Amino acid sequence: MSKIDTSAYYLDSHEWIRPANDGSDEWICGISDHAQEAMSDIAFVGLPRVGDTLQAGDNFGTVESVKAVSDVYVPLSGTITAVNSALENDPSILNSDPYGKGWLIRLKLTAAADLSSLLNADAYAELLKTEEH
Amino acid sequence: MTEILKRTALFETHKKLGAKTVPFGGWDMPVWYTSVKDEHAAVRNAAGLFDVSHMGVLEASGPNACAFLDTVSTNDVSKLAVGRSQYSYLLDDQSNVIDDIMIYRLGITQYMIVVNASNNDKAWAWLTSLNGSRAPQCILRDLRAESTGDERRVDIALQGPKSLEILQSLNPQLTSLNNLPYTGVLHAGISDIDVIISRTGYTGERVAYELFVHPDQSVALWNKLMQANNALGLKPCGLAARDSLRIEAGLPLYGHELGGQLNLVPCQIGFDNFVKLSKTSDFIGKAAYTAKVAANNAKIVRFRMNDKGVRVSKLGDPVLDRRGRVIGTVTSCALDSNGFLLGLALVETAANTAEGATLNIIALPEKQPPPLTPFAALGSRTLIPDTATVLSRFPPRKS
Repeated sequence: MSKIDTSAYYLDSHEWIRPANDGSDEWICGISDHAQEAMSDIAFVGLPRVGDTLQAGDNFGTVESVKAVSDVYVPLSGTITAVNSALENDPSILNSDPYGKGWLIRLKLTAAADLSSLLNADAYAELLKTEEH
Repeated sequence: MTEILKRTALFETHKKLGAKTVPFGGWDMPVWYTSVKDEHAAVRNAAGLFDVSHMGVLEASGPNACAFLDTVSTNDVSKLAVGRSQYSYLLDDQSNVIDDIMIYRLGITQYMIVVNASNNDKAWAWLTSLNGSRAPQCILRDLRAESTGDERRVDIALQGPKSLEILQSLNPQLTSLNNLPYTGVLHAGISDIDVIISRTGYTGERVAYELFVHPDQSVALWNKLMQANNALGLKPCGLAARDSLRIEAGLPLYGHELGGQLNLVPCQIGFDNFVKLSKTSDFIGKAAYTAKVAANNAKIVRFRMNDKGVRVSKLGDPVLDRRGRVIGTVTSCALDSNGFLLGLALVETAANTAEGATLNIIALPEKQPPPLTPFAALGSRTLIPDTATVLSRFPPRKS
């Protein structure tokens, strides 16, 4: 069973988002442990530019392994304040630490977070149960 | 219509080990269990266990078996000693590669032949059509068929430096393995299981074995190997690691470096020495192959991308010179032992492909960005090639 960050909210396409909790009002977004496991060894991460504004559900990047290419989607609307450029040189960080050093982007949300359309950790765990049978 | 995938006897065993499975050559096979990188590393540093029981296992026997095989395959079967094996090709009259095969001489007039899973039916149909017509008549059997009864065989591969120790931990009497040369083959018992052991494989490892066992005992053999000695670091390995290992070793895969859309033949991939134009007997496809050798103007090179984190190139991606002219085509690419993308490409012989030369490779995405126009907006994207360095055709052999 893959790991779940209990402080994060999820899309059913396996992206997570959570408050940065570092004194800023920014949020951090990435892909779940289940997603990195399903890709196996990640060779390429395509990231957007700082300053881009995204609507919830927008495709903002791609993650590629030798066997698969996945588009990644942003769970909430916001403006990108940072991208994890360390992944461009060493994409394997995404495999080893998907909720920590393998984060993808930081966002300043456009509006107060509307979490009603997202899965909380429990609901995401339920989703994985059905997918991982 | 969805194809109904075949399963090997080990399918449930793979699922219990957490394998992710994918369709391959008509079979539902493990692509990885945990991580391709870990499985790849296990084979290089310890050992890996592969279910290759989807591969075809055939037999040619009888007094004409050698003459039959010398007519239908390119290597010199008359030079193959009992207890040894050789790599070879089946060609058609136009010298298209029908399959690349292994031939194991088990007895004076008994040869086992392993063919690719994806080519099994085609190879079997080709061989049976030639038997007794264009090639001297021998007895052909499909060793995986139920009708073969007690003599059925399927292949399980145990590859990597700890393989010998693992086999001997199950049978300390197997001292004959100490002297088994590379390509050697012998008949032995592992615990109470009858096994044909050959020192061969598809990973580039020199301490590497293929174990041919009755399909009813493949699960028992697999489990015994997995439980042999935890300290030795044996891991079950899937098709993705098999692919990354063979690419790193510079070995061809049918459909990529042989046959396929580029219709490659052995002289283009550095495997000319498995086609014996000077052998006594003529083989099918010889005349056409000789003409292809004379006309050939391209060869397979092994390359490594210069940077980590670049897009993954795949079969068909263009290789360019520094002025943007296409000089070749990528045929395979995967992550190597150090986390760099390493691949094979067919490149014209006129280009500089000396070890250390630079290649430019564009990994074509599914959706290509529109071409840039003057005053393109900041943030627009276009494709640029990534640089790669030509490696030696094969990796240096480990001491």
